[in-house]
Amino acid sequence: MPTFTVVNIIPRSLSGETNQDSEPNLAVNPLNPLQIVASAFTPNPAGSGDAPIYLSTDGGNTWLLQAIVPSDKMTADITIRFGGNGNLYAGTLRTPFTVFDSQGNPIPTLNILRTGNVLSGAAMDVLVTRTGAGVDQPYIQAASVGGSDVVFCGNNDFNQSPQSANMDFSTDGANPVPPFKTTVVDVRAGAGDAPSIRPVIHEDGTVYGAFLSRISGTSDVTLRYNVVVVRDDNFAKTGPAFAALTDPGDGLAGKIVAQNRLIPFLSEPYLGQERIGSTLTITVDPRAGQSGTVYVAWADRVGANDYTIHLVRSSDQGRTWSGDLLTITNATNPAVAINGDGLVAFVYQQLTGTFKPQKVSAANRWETHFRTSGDNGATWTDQILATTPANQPPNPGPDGNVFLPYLGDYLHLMAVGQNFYGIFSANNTPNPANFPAGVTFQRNCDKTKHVLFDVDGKTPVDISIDPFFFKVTP
Amino acid sequence: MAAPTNPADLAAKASFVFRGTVQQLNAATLPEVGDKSKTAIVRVDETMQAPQALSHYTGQNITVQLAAPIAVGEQAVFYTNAWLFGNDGVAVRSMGHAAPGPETLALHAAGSDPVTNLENRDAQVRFDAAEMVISGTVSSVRTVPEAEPARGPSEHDPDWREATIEISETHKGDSVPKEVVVRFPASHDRMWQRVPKLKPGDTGKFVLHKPSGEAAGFYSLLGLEDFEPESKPGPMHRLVANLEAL
Repeated sequence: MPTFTVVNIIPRSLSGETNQDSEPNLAVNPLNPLQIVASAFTPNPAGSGDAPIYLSTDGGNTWLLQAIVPSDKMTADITIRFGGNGNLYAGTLRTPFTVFDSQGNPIPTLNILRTGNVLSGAAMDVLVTRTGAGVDQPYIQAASVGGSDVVFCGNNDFNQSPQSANMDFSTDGANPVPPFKTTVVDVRAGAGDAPSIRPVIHEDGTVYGAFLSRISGTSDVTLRYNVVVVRDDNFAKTGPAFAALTDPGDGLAGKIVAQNRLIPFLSEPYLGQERIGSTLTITVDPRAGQSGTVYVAWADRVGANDYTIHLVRSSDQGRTWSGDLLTITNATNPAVAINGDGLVAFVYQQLTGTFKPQKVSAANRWETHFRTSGDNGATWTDQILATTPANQPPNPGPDGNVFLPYLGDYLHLMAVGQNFYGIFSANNTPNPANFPAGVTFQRNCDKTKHVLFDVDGKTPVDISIDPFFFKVTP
Repeated sequence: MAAPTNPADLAAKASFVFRGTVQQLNAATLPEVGDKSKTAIVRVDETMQAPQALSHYTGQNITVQLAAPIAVGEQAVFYTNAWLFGNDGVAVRSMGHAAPGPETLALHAAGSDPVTNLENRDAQVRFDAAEMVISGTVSSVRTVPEAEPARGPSEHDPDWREATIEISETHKGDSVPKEVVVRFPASHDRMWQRVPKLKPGDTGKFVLHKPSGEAAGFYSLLGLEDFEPESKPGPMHRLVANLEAL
């Protein structure tokens, strides 16, 4: 039987916080899995200084928060990943914004950061700063290969017209001054890509990228996209990058996995209290000789007003793809990972109860599912990690302090060896019934009366959104 | 004791200022602190300036990463910023410390609220950085389609609105106009949700910026504190009152 560990990672000294700690990400040091770092839209509790990240040194059982990310109080986006030798990399959108266009629109700046010692307390070093016309949603991956670090950071590049899927990458990330290149990975003349650009790295040199390439649409509710996967077979070191996989339809780089999908981009509380519009994940089988096995999941609209996740698989380096292995209605934040035994795990957050667009009630809940398949996706186990009220806290709250994304535009799942590690955000009511696989709270609370308390252990604290770490040993 | 940097300069950069007594060198209250060669356990004797999250440590031991040598038993005013928040307390990074004395005590009135002291300092910084600070009332709000970025959608797009504000008093900036146009984001994206969403009738203090340059025909709200309603007067009201009393 698998064992589950679920931990609310807010430290006890921050028991009074009511931040919306959404859009979590996670990095496990593959050389020392006791060392784990997490990020979320968590501000510096002091109200000034660098942005914080969470750190565990005991495999995720206990956590603290430390401010080492060079960004004013918090980032506008952040993802994190370990390379080798304890090197932690981050892709961030840095705040405050310092460049604006003539209409007052801020131009986001991409930073790629690194620290060789997450315990040193020193601010992370800035390896890349790129602004131009702006960069959005950096999503970083790293791997230790041959004594150095391979780092790929997918992002949506506003410097292209139209905005395009892009990778900033280095094959020598551990170098004191690592050389980074940037390359556009969507070669088709489309109408602009959605924000989610997702890379994944295999140690044999294979790097996949997934993105949503817009093909039509004149308003946010009519946008249509192709789901595209690109591949490079040598860490993008030689030749045209990410050109190894072509589509037989047009002969261009990038296999169209799913065509002409309606994906409304709704920057408002739509699904429960969450926005929708750019949901995507990809993973590769990490085992030697298995880099041809790759999974992709995205969300689109198949009916009148739903938001539906599709999980598909390729076993031939992305050339052909299965039909839906799983189809999950009214769900978001998919993440998939494969462990060292080839076991596939799939996480997502599904809104349950009667769904009404832009409405939420006490009958709606966010269920965070953890599912596994040992037979290439034919059959799946299903463990609910969390089932939490979808209507609390309200969005926007009475003081305007609840924002979008409500839970996040993404979460994260990864494997190190046999174990799966992940993170999700959810309503933090300390009710054990909300966490069927068990849960540990660091912050002060009464799990019998379902009440959070401030650092004094007495003053009640409002419910908010917190990040929850989980580990699964199959 | 190492020669301190000017306490006023340190207080301007530090969010957490306290008078404390060194209990133990090369030690930490948090087990996660690995390198203790520059840390000390310090008892907080008096909190002078603090964010809410660090305002309740008076009488408790915390971990301080020192900027300069100090002896056990020595008392000093520490100028620090947050570093670690753990299950066993907090750790802060010191930018410097100074012996308690007239120069350090003059910055914070004895018995004053440390959170208010920090709010007042930050209000002064915002006032100094603003192009214009006014009292006024929102008379109208409109959408601004011409301000949409000329590209596909991003989750961070601000979705600008324009408010016209009738000025009742100008505290900083050009005092000639009777009204100004102010852009604010209607978006509830994480980047913008804290920025006030103005509506007709809103009255208070407005801290205005021109991020697109002086030639732009509008000001912008960029942060939570850029509008302080009359119904909920805070540090900007206190600052303006103090300036007018001078």
